[in-house]
Order: sequence, then C-alpha cells, then structure tokens
Amino acid sequence: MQENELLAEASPNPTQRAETLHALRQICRGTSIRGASSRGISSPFTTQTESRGRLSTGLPALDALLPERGIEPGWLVEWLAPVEGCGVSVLALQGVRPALARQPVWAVVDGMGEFHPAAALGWGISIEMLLWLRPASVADTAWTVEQCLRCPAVGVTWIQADRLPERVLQRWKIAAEAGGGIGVLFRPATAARQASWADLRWLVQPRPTLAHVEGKRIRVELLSCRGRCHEGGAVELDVCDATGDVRLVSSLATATSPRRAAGA
Amino acid sequence: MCVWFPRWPLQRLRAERPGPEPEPEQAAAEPPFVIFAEGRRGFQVTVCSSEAELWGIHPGMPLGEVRSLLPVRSTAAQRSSQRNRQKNRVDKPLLRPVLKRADPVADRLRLQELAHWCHQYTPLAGLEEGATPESIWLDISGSESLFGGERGLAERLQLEFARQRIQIRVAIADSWGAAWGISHFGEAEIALVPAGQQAAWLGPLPVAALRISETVRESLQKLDVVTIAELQRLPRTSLPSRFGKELLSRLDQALGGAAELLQAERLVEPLLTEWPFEEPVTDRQTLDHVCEVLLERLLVILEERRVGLQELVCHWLGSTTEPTRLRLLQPTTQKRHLLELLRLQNERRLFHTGVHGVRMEAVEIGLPSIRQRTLFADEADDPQPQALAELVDRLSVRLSPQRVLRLQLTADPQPEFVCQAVPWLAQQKPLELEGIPSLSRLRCRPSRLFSTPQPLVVQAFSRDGLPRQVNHSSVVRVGGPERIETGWWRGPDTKRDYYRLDLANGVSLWVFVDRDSRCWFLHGLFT
Repeated sequence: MQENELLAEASPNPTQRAETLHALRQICRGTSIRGASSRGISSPFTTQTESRGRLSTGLPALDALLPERGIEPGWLVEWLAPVEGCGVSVLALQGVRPALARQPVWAVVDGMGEFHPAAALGWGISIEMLLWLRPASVADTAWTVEQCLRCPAVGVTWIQADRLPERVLQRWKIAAEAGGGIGVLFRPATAARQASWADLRWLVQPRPTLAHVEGKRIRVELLSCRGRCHEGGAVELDVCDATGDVRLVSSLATATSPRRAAGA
Repeated sequence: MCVWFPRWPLQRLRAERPGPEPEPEQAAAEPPFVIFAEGRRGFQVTVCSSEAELWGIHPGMPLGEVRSLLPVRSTAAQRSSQRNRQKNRVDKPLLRPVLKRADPVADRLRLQELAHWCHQYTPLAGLEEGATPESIWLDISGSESLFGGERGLAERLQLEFARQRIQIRVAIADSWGAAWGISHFGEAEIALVPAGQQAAWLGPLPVAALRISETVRESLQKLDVVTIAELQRLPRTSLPSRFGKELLSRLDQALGGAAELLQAERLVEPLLTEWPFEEPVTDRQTLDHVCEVLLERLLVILEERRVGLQELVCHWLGSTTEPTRLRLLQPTTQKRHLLELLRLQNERRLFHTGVHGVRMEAVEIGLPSIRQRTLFADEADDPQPQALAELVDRLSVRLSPQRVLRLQLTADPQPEFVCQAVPWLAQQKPLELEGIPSLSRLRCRPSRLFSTPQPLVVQAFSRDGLPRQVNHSSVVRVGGPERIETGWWRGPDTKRDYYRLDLANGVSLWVFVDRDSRCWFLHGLFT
C-alpha cells in the first residue's frame, strides 16, 4: 500500500505529465518560457520577466491595438516596411524612451555605420548611453545582438535585419526573455510571409504624400501579437518632423445615406 | 639638486633618433625642430630649436604663422624668410624646419625613466610638479661623498647624460626651489650654492626663477619688480593681498623658509605570474587551463592589495603568436568574467608554433567600484552598471574596441562631422550641447546618413531647377533649402544646399546640390 502511494507521488498523472512535456518542448523551441512558468516549471529567466509591467509603444493609437495596451519586457518587436526611407524608424523611436526609463542603455547594431543619432536626439531620446556597435560580419552581428538582448542593462536593442536564419531569431527571442529588454527589428515587408519568432509584428505602408498636408502619412497594421488571436487592426498616422507630432488620422464620418439625405 | 633638461621635448626627440652620435658638422646640418600643441587659439609652438629661431619662430607663435614663414609656394613667404635670414646675418642656407606635434605623455614617461636611472646616485629622485615637467630633483644628502663631492657628482651626471645625447644644467642648493631657479636662470651650467647662501644667489635672478604663474609675473612687471632682490624689498605682509598666496609661498620655499612636499619616483614591482612548460605546447585546452591557474594566482595578489585588474597581457613565450591583451571598462577582480574574456579572445588565436611558457601580467590596475548596499536590498538589486561594463568588455574583445562606440554630437555644421564616435573603453567626455541645433532642426535630420554622399540621378527638373522625378518616382514635396557653407579649414570649401524630397511612393530623401558643380547627391534617408 505504502509502495503504491509512493509510486503515485513519484509519477504524476498523465494529464500533468503531458502538460509538463508540452511546456518543456516549448522551452526547447524557445517559444514560451512564460508559458512554462505558468505550468509550474521553474526557469532561470522567469523571475526577471514576470515581475515587469507593460511598456507603452509611445503611441496611444498603437497601444490600443495591443491586447494589454502595451508590450512586455523581453519581447521582440518587428517593423516590416516595403521600402527604406518610409519613416518607420520615427514610429519605432517613440517606444524607445519608455523602455530606456527601465533599462538605460540603447544598443544600436549597425554594421553599415550609417546610423545618425541626431533624429533620435530630436525626438527627445538621450544618446549618452547609446552603444553603437559595428560588427564586421553576419556571424558577429548575430552574436552581438544576442549579447545585447541578454544583458539586463540594455533596454532597447535596435537592429536592421534584412536576411536572417530562423535559428538566429529563435536565439534572439530566448536572449531577449533572459535580459528583459526590447529587441526592435527592422525587416523588409517580404518577411511578412515568413514565420517569425517575434512577439509583435507591425507592417508599415507609406501612404501617398499629399502636397497640401504637412508631414507624412503612414498606415500601421498589426500583423501578429503574442496573447491575441489574429484579428488584424490598423491605424493611419500623420508624422510631422517639424512639430514633433505623431497623430492619428481622424476618420471621416459615415456618409449619410441618400434616402436619409432626401428626408425620407 | 635640480637637473634641468632645457627644451626637453626637443632633446627627447633628438636623443631617441637612432644611429651614432652626430659629429659637430653633422649636428650643424640637422634640420631645425618645431614642436607644437593645441592651445586656446588653435595650434601653437611650444618649443623650438635655436636653428628654428633663425627663421623667426618662437614659442607661443601660432602654427599658421610658422607655416607662412616657410618657403612653400608663395614668394612673399620666401621674402619674409630671406628678411629673417638677413636680420640674423646667417650666410649658410637654412634648412626647412621639421614640425612635430607635442607628446607630453611620452616626454613625462622618458623623464620618469631618467629619474629611475638616477637612483644609482641617490635613493630619492623625482619629477618637478606640473603638466609638462622638464626637471628632475635629487636628494643627494649623504650620497655626494661617494662620487667625489657635489661637484664630482654634478660633473659625472653631466658626462653620463652627454653620452645619451642629453644636455643638462645642474644646480645644488639647500632648497629645491633655489636649485630650480638657479639651474634655470643662473649663468653656470653647474652651480653649487654654498649652505645658507641661496638668498644671495637668487637675488639678481628674475622673479620667474620662483616658479610663479604668468599672471603674477605680469603683475610684478607692471610694478617694475624684475628681480627677486627687488621683490624682497617690498613689505612682506602686503605680498599675499596684492599678488596672492602663491608668491610668498614660492619665495619662502626658495629661501628655505617653508617646507615643500616632493613626490619621489618609486620602482613598482611588476604584477605577473608565469608558467614555463617542459616541452612546447600547442594544445588549446592545456593553454586555457594554465591561463586559468595563472589568473587565479594573479587575482590572489591583487586581492591582497585590494585592487582590481584594468588591463591584462598574456604573453605566449617562445611563440610567434601575438600576446593576448584585455582592456576593461572598469577594474575588476571577477575571475568568471576575466576567464570568459580570455577564452573569447584566445578562441580566435592560432598557435602555429609551440608555446614554451605563459606569462600573465597586470599592466594596469585600479580600485574596483564598490557600491554600498542598503540593509534590506536584494543582492541582485540594480545589477545594471556591472552588467553594462561586462557587456562592453565582451563586445570590445570580440569585435575590437574600435567597433564598440559611443556617439557624441559636435557643433560642426557639416553633417558628416556632426557625430563623433569614440570607443566606449576610452575616457568619456561630458556631452557638450553648446552649438548643437534645436530639437526641431534635429528632428528634420535623417536617421540614416551615408558616410559618403552618393550621386543622385534626377530624371526630371522643375522650372526652378529642383528635382521633379527621382528614382522613377515623382517628387511630391520639396523642403528646404538649408544652406551649409563650411569646412574651409579642412580643404576645399563645402557649399551645399540641402533639400528634403518626399516622393510619391512615400519615401523621403535627404539630398543636396553642390553649389560649385551643380551636381545632386543623396546624403541620407528618413528611414
């Protein structure tokens, strides 16, 4: 009898066992350390990430599209843009300041050496703790990003990532969860068709520039977000560099039906 | 005793030149030297040789003025140099002066070496205070009798330094202040001041012999106080209120009435550990293990001294492999971190030949940063500064310090030079926000700037000469121009009109037209 009890204690019931195995598989795949912790599996990274609150994207219109009105520390955020020069970095910059308030270092991984900090300074981001990294090869870039994401002092890791092997992104995801910072990736819009390890994916579409409108109009579409079923959601934003405003474009009122207009 | 090395930066350069001692005729044919450094008003001459003085060059002269004296292209400069030659009545042709930038660190280091070398005459030797020392002090009390008295010691020093191609002037007095003044402003190359006679020797010397600042010297000159004797005639009590405390203190120090703290140069015991092998080794695991053992030993020594490691060099004895160097952001005693860095650097190292031994040396040490904890603080509370230091160390080791940078904005209007990148491992300068444009102007700068502007193909122009179609997309809006004219001191003038082009496809470009060539260039993207 006692032996049976001991055996029963030692071997959990099949449902628990399946859950545990599922959670372990998730860890191995690097998808969900958080999911594992909710199932009672301890992880060295659990305490660091779980104790943190949500961070704003810096734009209330984008926050409203997210399930808990913000992003969680340890996330990889992907910005997908069809062309370079469409103003996506201005939108991403808005989220840098809230992230740096928690962890002060901003790591910019820029192999080309073409990052210009003046615009960031103009948008109110201090460059005193900016770590400008210029890796010479792809392998060095992947390693550098991983190191930055894993460091608890780095709040934002900023990467222009055009072509990346899936495994690299997986490693970055695990590193970001360990470090608790935000990884901001800029990728071409063609990557939208590929599966991604990023927790949040935005697709940016520049709208045709209007001569009479000051600034630039950009459509931002939520492609996917951790913790939310795919419902889509998009907003249009007006970005004005001169005034420093990023405004939601006010939508037009629904047109009055001809019948009602006729007073019927 | 004071040993003065007149025009020390110049002497150091000449003494370090390889080859035997030049003959007197060859020495006469040596080119004149001009050493310059950055001063308040740009580059200025700090020291120049006597041959350079024949050109009319003197210390304090702006470098631009020196260049104008040299016969480069202009005939006016030639005429000026001829005038100088006539004025100085020199018949032989003047050699063109060699311009060298001052290196005060190297000057000081060499002087420190000489002070250590002087330990054979006395156990106490040191450098004079100040940013650019030119003299060494020696406390020869009791040791002069070993070298045939004070004169014998002074002559021997002079001879030994002459062998090293270094000229000196020596003065021996009761006080360091008097010895300094007499060696610098006295007539004899070797001056021996009898005990208690320094007041009489110092009297006819100019007030500059008291090591006073330029301001005090000028104030005294206005009152027509030229010599120390004249200064001594002034009421002593009025000196501090009229000229500051420095003057009276220096006067007392020279006359032996006040003590002066001198810092002696001490030989520092090198911090190193070594592991010799019986046979040459190429096995990486063995080398890693030896490194770990040596590091442990080194850290034990450092912990006894309560210091941390800032720079470490690992020599591979008997091998052609370059030594492994580690430079850290902060001094540390963390074995785990140091080992990680060593492995990170050694994994890329190739050992073509066997290593006969490993020598690990602490090149630079410092006080490790210790933060006081609060009573109930968690141990892992605020690990950020240390985590950042470790990250920077790791990145610098793998990528090289020149690829781990911090950015500093400068007040330069030319966009390529607005940002200055400095390695994180270099000392941080405070951010200067003076002269930096307003936030609204900064926001209008692109986030991606090409280091070299790229030629822009403009397919169509509007009536006013602005691009109408670029990259097969029509230009919807043109912002600007922002005229930048600068850089005349770097070479050809930079004359550009910058525009922001918003294309119909939503792309924004930062372009400029060169006002000389009227060519269009793409300089940045509003990514």
